[in-house]
Amino acid sequence: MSDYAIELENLSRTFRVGPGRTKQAVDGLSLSIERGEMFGLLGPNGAGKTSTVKILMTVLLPTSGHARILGDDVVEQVERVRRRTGVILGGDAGLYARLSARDNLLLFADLYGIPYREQKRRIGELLEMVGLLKSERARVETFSRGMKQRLHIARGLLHDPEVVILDEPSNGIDPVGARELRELVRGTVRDGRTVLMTTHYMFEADELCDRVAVMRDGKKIAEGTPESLKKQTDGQVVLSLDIIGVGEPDLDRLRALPGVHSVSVAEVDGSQRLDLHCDQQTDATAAVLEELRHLTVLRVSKREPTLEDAYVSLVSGGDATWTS
Amino acid sequence: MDVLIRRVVSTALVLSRGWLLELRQLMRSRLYLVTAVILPLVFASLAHYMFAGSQRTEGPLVIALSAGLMGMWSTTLMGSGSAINRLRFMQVLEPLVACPTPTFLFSLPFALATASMGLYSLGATLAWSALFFGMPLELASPVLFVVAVVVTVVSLSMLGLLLASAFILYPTAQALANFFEYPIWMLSGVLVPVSSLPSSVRYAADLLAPSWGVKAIMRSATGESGTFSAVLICSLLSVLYAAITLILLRRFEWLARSSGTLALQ
Repeated sequence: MSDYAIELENLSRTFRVGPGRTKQAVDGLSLSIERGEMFGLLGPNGAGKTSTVKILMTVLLPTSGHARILGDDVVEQVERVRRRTGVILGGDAGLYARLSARDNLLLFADLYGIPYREQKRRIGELLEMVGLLKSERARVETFSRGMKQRLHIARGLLHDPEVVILDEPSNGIDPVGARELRELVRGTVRDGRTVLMTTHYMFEADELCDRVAVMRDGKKIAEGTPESLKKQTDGQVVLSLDIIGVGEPDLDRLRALPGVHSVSVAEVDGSQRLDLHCDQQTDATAAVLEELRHLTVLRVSKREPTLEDAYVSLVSGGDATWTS
Repeated sequence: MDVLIRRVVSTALVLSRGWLLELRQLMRSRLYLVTAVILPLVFASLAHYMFAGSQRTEGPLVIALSAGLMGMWSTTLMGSGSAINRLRFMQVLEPLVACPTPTFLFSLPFALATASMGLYSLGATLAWSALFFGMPLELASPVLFVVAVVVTVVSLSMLGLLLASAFILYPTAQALANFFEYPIWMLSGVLVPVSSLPSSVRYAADLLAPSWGVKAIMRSATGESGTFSAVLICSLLSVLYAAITLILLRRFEWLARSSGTLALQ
């Protein structure tokens, strides 16, 4: 029996995106997740999180490398992997919209081979757990996004899987709904399961996960506990500028400045917000303003970095080498 | 033995509940319902006016049956294929494939549900023909007729599923199903007698289970001999289709996982 619940070994996946053109969605990813652990896979859109999840849920084959769940290879021992893994996808879709919540669960209960006599009890328990007992007969197309997400959770736990994979469970859900969802997710780990969760939100990973890995361009660029990720920004400050007309050459010059670790840019109300992660000891403000003297700078401020900044620094910076 | 019984029961459960829920889904689509009501009426009208204006020697029952079979075939072929694409569009295809049940078992209920709608289409066309156009519904052998209809509907759903297996791999395979609709009508002997087709094409018709089904239905309705043999050949060909579909679905699922086409592109 394997010591790990989930093991990825140099996993890669390439997609053909046109004649003679390919895209490397996952690039040599290696991870080992302990049994009973709650692990977060973070990264921006296109980082390779969903491709990794799809390989683990056995709907996508890896181009190279290996992925194992509870010691079973996701390519060679598909049926065993499917029986022992629950998949909870995020988003509005993925359910039979014209059927009721109960019918959706009944259909999947059959497909997972749950004995007929157990189905009623199990579905009742799960609907109660996710707070959908009162709406069990309503059509899913009338559900809010949060209700659909809770139904996804119930469906993923139907066959009482040992490993649960969640793909961006709180994506697009209002803050109150997202908090309730996190509580539900926490409950699944309390039951002794291993959970792998992908998310965009650092605070969510911080709240729920024992360990996290950060992906960028298909590669793992960091792995460790949320606390060790926070420590990445020890001794740094964030220099924030609201500016108009900044271009890629300006960003390249800023990245080359001494004491600047990373630069990220976002559009905010018709201007651009530049966040520079700088060494606390090297005051880069003057040098930065000198490089941007040909542009209109609306506002300059300095602040202590947050956990979100640590994540942004990793995914927008150069090649990070941090590990816990 | 216990394991075998449990497996049979669980398979029957998957199929029957899947069929029922898929049927429920179809019934809740207004567009589908409107089409299901209007199409038989269109086919019945076509049959009536074709019969009234032609020199054909077949009786009115044969004409009404042919119209009903056209409706049945349209509903079944289109339904089986589009069911897989609908699942992909709803993003349910990946969670379904991620279940431990073979793809064949979750696809079969869709085919059976659309075949049931096809059965309804046949019944409705015959009913419209009788009610509005006075076409007689006197069957020479009602029991054999029911058997022939059931066998034909199963054969149609198996052929629909065979074509639909490509939908797992290719999201654009709808064009393939559309392409096959009219040739299979022709080869099944619904539009014109198979004997009037070129001999090379007639061999292809012999490989089509629905063409034997059509023969069985017509013979049981008119009292011609040879219903049993047609039912038998239709059933054997249906079993063959199911076996081929089973292999193709397994292969196509693997290829779809390899190419990443299970997801909505």
